[in-house]
Amino acid sequence: MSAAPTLAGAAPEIDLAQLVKRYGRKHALEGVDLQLTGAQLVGVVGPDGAGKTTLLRAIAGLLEVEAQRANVLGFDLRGDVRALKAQVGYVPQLFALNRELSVIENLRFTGKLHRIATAVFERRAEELLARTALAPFADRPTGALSGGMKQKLAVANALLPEPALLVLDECTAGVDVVARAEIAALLAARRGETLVLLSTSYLDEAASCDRLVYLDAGRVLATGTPAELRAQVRVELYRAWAAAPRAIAAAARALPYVVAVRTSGRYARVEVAAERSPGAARVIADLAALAGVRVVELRPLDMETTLLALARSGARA
Amino acid sequence: MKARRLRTLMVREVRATLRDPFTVISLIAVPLVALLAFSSILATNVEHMRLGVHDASRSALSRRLLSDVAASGAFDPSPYATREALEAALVAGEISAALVLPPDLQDALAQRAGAAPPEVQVLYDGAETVLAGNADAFLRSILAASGARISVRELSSRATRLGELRSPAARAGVDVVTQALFNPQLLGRPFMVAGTFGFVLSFVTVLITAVSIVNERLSGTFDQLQLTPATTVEILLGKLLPLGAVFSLDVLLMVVVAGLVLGVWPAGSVLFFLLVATVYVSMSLSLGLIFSATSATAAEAVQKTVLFSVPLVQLSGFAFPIRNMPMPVQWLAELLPATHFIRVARAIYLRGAGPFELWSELLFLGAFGAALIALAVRTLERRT
Amino acid sequence: MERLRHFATNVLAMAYREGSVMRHDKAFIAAVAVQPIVMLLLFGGALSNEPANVPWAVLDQSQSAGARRLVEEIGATGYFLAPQRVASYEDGRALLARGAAVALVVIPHDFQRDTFRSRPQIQLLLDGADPLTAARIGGTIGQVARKFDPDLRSVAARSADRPAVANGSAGLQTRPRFWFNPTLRDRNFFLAALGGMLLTNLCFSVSSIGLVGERESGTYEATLALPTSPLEIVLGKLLPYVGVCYVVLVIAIVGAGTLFGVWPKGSWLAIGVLTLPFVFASLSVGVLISTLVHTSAQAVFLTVFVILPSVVLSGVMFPYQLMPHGVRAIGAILPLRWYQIGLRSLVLRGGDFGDVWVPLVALCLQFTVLMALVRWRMKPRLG
Repeated sequence: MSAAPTLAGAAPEIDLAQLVKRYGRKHALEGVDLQLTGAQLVGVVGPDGAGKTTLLRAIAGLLEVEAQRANVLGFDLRGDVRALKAQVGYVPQLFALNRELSVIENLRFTGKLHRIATAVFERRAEELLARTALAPFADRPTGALSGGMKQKLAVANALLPEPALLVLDECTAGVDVVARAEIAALLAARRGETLVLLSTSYLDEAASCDRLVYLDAGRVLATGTPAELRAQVRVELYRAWAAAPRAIAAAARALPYVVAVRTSGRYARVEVAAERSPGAARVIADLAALAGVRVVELRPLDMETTLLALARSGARA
Repeated sequence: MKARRLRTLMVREVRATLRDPFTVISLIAVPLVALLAFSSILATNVEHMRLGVHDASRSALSRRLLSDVAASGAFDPSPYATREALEAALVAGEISAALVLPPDLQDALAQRAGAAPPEVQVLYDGAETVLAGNADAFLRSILAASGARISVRELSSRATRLGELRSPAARAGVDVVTQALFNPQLLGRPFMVAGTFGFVLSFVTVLITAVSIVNERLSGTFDQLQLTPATTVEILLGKLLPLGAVFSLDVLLMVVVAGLVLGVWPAGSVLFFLLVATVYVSMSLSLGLIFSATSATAAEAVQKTVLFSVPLVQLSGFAFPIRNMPMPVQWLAELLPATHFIRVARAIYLRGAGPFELWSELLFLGAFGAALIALAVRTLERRT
Repeated sequence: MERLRHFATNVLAMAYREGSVMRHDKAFIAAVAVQPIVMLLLFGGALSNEPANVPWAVLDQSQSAGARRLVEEIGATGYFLAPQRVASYEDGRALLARGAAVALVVIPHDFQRDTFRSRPQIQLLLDGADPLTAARIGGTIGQVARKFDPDLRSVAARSADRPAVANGSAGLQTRPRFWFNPTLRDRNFFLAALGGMLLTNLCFSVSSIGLVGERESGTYEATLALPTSPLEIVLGKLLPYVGVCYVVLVIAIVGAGTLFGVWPKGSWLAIGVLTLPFVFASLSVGVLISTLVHTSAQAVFLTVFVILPSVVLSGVMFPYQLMPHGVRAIGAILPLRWYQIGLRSLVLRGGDFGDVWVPLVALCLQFTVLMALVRWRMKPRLG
């Protein structure tokens, strides 16, 4: 991909303080504080209804918001956002290109509104279609594409103006593995040039982000690299292998320091509150003593446990 | 079929229907607005119609004539100085009719014996056909009456014998004593009110039924209900019966509003009318069911219903008499249940007809209704 | 200046997209072509208020030559079916009550005798259940009767003497003339304003359903994320339909001309100019509807129930001049009211710009008010 002149000097930056979005009496965002600097891949994670879509829409300049500070790429979200939109690519949650139009017609429409010169448009469109393997389908009605192709097209469409900020709302939800990998490759190519903000419910996607923003009940509860978030979570994770993991779950929950137990396959995942933990050796011994348990091991924190622990702390707060 | 299960489903349906403000508005506002709008559009009389007058005679006689015209309340005369101005106003549509009084009006009326009576010219805007037709009859009768009175006065002041005065008119023409039965003033209102029932029950209710069933299917509640012990027929009856009951209540509401607000009560039995309307409601429900079964989305169901119902209402004699249509169109119209329902509604509302006078129409409605219900059931069976 | 150019190019980009969508939409193209033709046939050929095939009955108690001649003359007006002879007054009334006859003409025993002594009388019973037909039939029979000369022998004498007495009863003679439509054909009345009906249907539905559809499918959100504004989106989306409206209008006018011989007598240019603010105002109504509803189904529903009163109260099918004052005032809010006034003047009365300035100003005013309403209802951003 060619160098993006719009981006060369300006550092993409999101600077929000006490961002509030109300729908009638309901608050979708209850004072979001968020600073993001530099071209990086940022994942927005959190439970359903946390306000992820609302936050992304707000950052893309689609919503009227109230805030102490609401700067995106140096533009105030509360003011005229047209100049901001010229530098933002946005992919909504549901596929939203015109189904009746062909692939190339959809791209051309985006190009026209972004005032991309015809020659430049032709070059970029060709390149994007080649990268997404959509070139053979350029003249096919968009509605006739498969789900994965549609999402690839949506991302390519958002990348067409070579935006400084790319906002993707669960753009890989329900997409097959191959297409997800292709989309990830598209985004990876922009790493270092574009600030990419994506919400996701896939743990591997979240884990591969440079930085995560954990949102719950309309507030940012934590931000940081995946490693930093893991460090914030005061939980130890153990895996207890058993022939019938369900059978040991109740007994494990009865231990005073155990926070949560979930069974999967042939083992039970046991989370222990770090501050109450009697030490790894003792926990392993306690768990091994339960009837039916064959092996117990201490595991490094994974993304799932991290997010669930964050969700629990969010629920308590 | 279990009565208890059915009742549970029905209660659920009534709750769901009443919770959706859009449906509630359509059920109450649409029939009432239709009633009020339609009841006022058909008129056989003329009121305060703008009448351009060019009075070239400028005589006492012409002024008397004009004051008679104005006094009728049917026309609001406004004077024009020249004939050209009058004609321009007619072209521009400022006036719908024009009266030209000739300069020799007074003289012509004075020199009565044997001469032609003075000629008054009336111009109508034929672009407004109904208006011109109505106005013509009105204006002529006013002018005739006024002219006769004036000529009596004119001539009797000259001490002419009455016999002489009457002679020219007496030998010409036949007097018509007109009496309109069932609706002595030929008001458009009861005619349209009765027709509006046909409109609402052939269109609005079909629409609501179709949309309601499609929405149910789309939201997946149908599938959920399929998992309960209820059968398809029960589920549908649980949906249709409350809707039918609500529509019948709608008819009652319309009858009451038409009576209290518009002063139009059925001349015949209210109970008989409600009964016939309820039978007709079952046909709307079946139609709505058929439309919903063949539509993928609610918008599609609405579009289908509109495309089907609008010509149906146009051809059913709701606004335009069927007998004025070309023969093939008349045959088509006779095949529509709406035609027969509207005929029955008008017969009950205006002529006070009962079941004996209407047996053939009722028979048709019954047969058609049975066929439609059978078709709806078959459509469903094919789908499930 | 720069802003204005951006505005124009954005609107054109939207128009390009909508035009491309339209080109792919075969159902829409079919509807645009078929609807005018169906309506033309319906209003040109099928629907009419002119009485025709009217069933009637005669109770001839006089059994005289004069009575037979009167019945013949009434039948000769062409409105009626062959008369049904009834033997008694009760039989006649029963026919009326059944709806089997609209009119009953009763010619009394002394009809013939009265023709020599005084003015003879007949009785006319009408079925008021069908008021419009009854009123017209009553007028027609009245006219025939007034002109009727029961005494054949005097015809020659009178035609020499008093040629015109026939038309007025006494004193005054009225000579009516129906301008612009001498035979008072309903067809001309309907066809002249058909374009108004068609464009109302088209404009209301494409804008309301189209915009709600964009919102539902998410394309509105996606487009709004591009450097454009709601006003540009809406204007650009609706712009191609202005062209479609003119196509429909031309189909309607040419169709009415070739099929039924109703060509515009006035200025074509004025029709074109008058149509522009009407189309814009009607499209704005659709946009306004789209801001009031949430789903496509609701949009279609509401659109239908806005189109109906528009057609009914505007005067396009029924003369608004005869409606009660309150209802007439409501009708004046509708763009279709003013458009049909202007259209009838231009098509039937041969009017020109000078004759339609009132509707023209009214339509521009309505468009301005509607635009203000739209801008007030339409949010600059989502939700």
